[in-house]
Formats: sequence, structure tokens, C-alpha cells
Amino acid sequence: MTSQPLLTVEDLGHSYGAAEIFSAVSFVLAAGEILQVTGRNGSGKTTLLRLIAGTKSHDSGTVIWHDDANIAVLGHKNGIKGELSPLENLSLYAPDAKTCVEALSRLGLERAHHKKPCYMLSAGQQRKTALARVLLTGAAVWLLDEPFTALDDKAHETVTALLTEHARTGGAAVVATHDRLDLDKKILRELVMS
Amino acid sequence: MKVNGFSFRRYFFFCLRLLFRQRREVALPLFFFLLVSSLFPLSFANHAVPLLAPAALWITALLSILLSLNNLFREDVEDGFMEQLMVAPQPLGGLVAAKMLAHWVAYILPMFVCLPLLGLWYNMPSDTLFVLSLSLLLGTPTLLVLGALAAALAAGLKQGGTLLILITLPLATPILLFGLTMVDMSQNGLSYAAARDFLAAMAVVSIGIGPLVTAASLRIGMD
Repeated sequence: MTSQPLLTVEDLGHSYGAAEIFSAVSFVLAAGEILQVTGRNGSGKTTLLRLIAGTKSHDSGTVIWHDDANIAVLGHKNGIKGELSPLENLSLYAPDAKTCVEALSRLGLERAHHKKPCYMLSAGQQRKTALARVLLTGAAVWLLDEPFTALDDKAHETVTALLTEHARTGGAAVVATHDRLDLDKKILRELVMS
Repeated sequence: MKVNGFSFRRYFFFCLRLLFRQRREVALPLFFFLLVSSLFPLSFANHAVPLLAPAALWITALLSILLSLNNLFREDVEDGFMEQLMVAPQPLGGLVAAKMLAHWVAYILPMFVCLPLLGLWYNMPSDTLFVLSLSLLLGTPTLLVLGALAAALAAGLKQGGTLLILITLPLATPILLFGLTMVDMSQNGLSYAAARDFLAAMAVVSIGIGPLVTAASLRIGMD
């Protein structure tokens, strides 16, 4: 792959107190690549994503973002407000309602649910709303932590297709998941946390 | 590193909309303010009521503000929204300022609407009511900033509400004293300019650096 690098991680390490979670994690993420981060529970996948996003400070190593790359983050928690509807939640990122409707529709969230308070939606529908936010940011790099949680098979396929499309349009993503990513081998790379 | 996201203005209105949806919870501190303030005149002799009115209203307003602050950041931390704020392209301090402004509008502004009614209840002269309102107008931004700082430190803690009160009350005491001094000077026909200017200066400093310090506290708390 000759694409330009968007993110370089060198010798990244983190500990909680005396317990080392991981050490010497290094990789380069280039445009058009999806990096799947796998590993057993507690191996540090979520922590790695938070260190990359900058919401947590690391003990050792460096995280270098090239060309001021935009990022979008989807954590374990959806980061949406239950009292607001999906459209109202997304209005922060795109004031134009049409754009928000398009993003939600791409994730397969039916129009009937667009104006309901999110606390009335299922866990999967809330996850779709959070994923729609990722789309709306227009970010070059997506950092997704267990994006398939609570999603049905169809939504799973939709997200996989969106990842492929994102990579093909010059984006990149780091995806921490226990699910197998059914992506083209040309764009998929794997990092196993041990 | 940044993400396409939202502006100060858009986030301010987003917070207001959210607070409107949570209006039952938002109304509780205001009801507390009204209920507790209205009890004081019933508990004292008639001639003492106008003298006690400024202190009663100031202390009740302070407690009401503290009551409102418990959820200022806690919900954002719990539902993952804080993470979105932290990766937003705008400085976190600016977004915190927008949230605090929305909080002031939703929780504190309605208190000023109720003040004339309470002034009647306390049989307070109109000029005293004016100075009391002015002292609260100048004092509440600082109280809000002090409380927000404590709320940021307590956001991730289970017993955060108690910690918030323990941190804020001692820090808020000088503001309370200067606010009451302002009213007292006015009641005695003296110039209250010094106390007014102090409260105004504190408000300017608080508004200027408070959101930045609060944002730093939130980052430390989330780490």
C-alpha cells in the first residue's frame, strides 16, 4: 500500500497502577486501511483506542497524527442523549435535517424512529444513531470500539459495507471488535492484543 | 487531530433543548428556592423579616445553585457524551462555557423572575430588592463557575454530590459575604460600589478562566 500515512503509533504502552495492560504497540495506519484490533477481554483494546483518540494519556510511546487528520470516535457508550431524538442528537453535527435523515437511513434506522426520544429506542437503534454521528463528522479516521454491539445481521452488513466504502474513499479506521470483519484483504489489517 | 463537529452556538442551543426536555429535574432547584425562601418570613417576627430577607434569599439561592450542579457533567460522563466533547475540534473550555451559560439560563435566570414576588412576600423596599438582584446577578456567575469546577472534579465519583457541596461552600462564602455587604451598605444609605466592583471583577475573572480550569479538571477526571 503506497497511500499516505494518517496515523503512526510507536511503542505505545499503558499500565493501570502496577499492572501493565500492554506495551510496545506500534503500527502505521494509512489512508484506505481498516485496522482490526482483536484480543481477549481486558487486553487493552478500549484503552488503546482512548490513547489514540487522546482522551487518555499514555505512559510510554507516541501517537502521531499526520496532516491534521480528522477523527470520529464511537466508544462503548453511544454518547447520545436519551431525552433527544436521533435527529436532535445529530443536529449538533449537521444543522441540515436532510443530511441527518440520510445518515440515519444509511444505517437502516426507519424514519418512524427519527423523531422519537432515544430512550424509547432499542439498544441497536441507539447504536445506529451513534454510528450515523460517525458518518456525519466526515472524519478521515474512525475509531470504533465494538461497533457491532446490539446490531442485527443486516445492520452488521451495513456497517461492514460502510467501512469498505470509507476505506475506498480514502478514509481509514481502527476497529476494536471480537467479531470477524468480513472485508477485502487488500484493505484489512489486523492487530492482536495479547 | 480534530473532528468535524459543532460550534459554541450550536452546542449552547443543544444544551438548552436538552434542559427543556429535562424540565422536571430543572424545575426542582427553582421550587426549592421558592419553597425555602417563602418559609423564612413565616419563621420570624414581622419586624425582622426585611432585615433577614437578603441573607435568606442569598443563602437559598446558593443552595439552590448547588442542588442544580450535581448533574452538570455527571450524565455526560456516564452516557459517553463527554468523550465526544473531548474530541471535538472546538476547545473543550469553550464547550464547557456554552454548557455553563445554558445552565445559568435554565436554572438561575428563573430565580430573577421570581425575585419581585419574593420581595413582596418579604415586604422588601424596591431599592433593596434592586440591589439584592444586582448582587445576585454579579455573584451567581462566580458561584456557578466554582460549582462547575467542583462538579467536574466530582463527575466520575459515586458520592460526587456531597463532595461538590463540601468543595463549593467554603469557596462560595466570600461571594456570599460581598453580596450581603452590598445589600447591607445600600440599606444603611452607604455606597456599595466597592462590594459591587469586587463581585463584578470576580465574575469577569471567573467567566474568563473558569471554563478553562473546569475543562482541565474534566480531562484529568476522564484520564
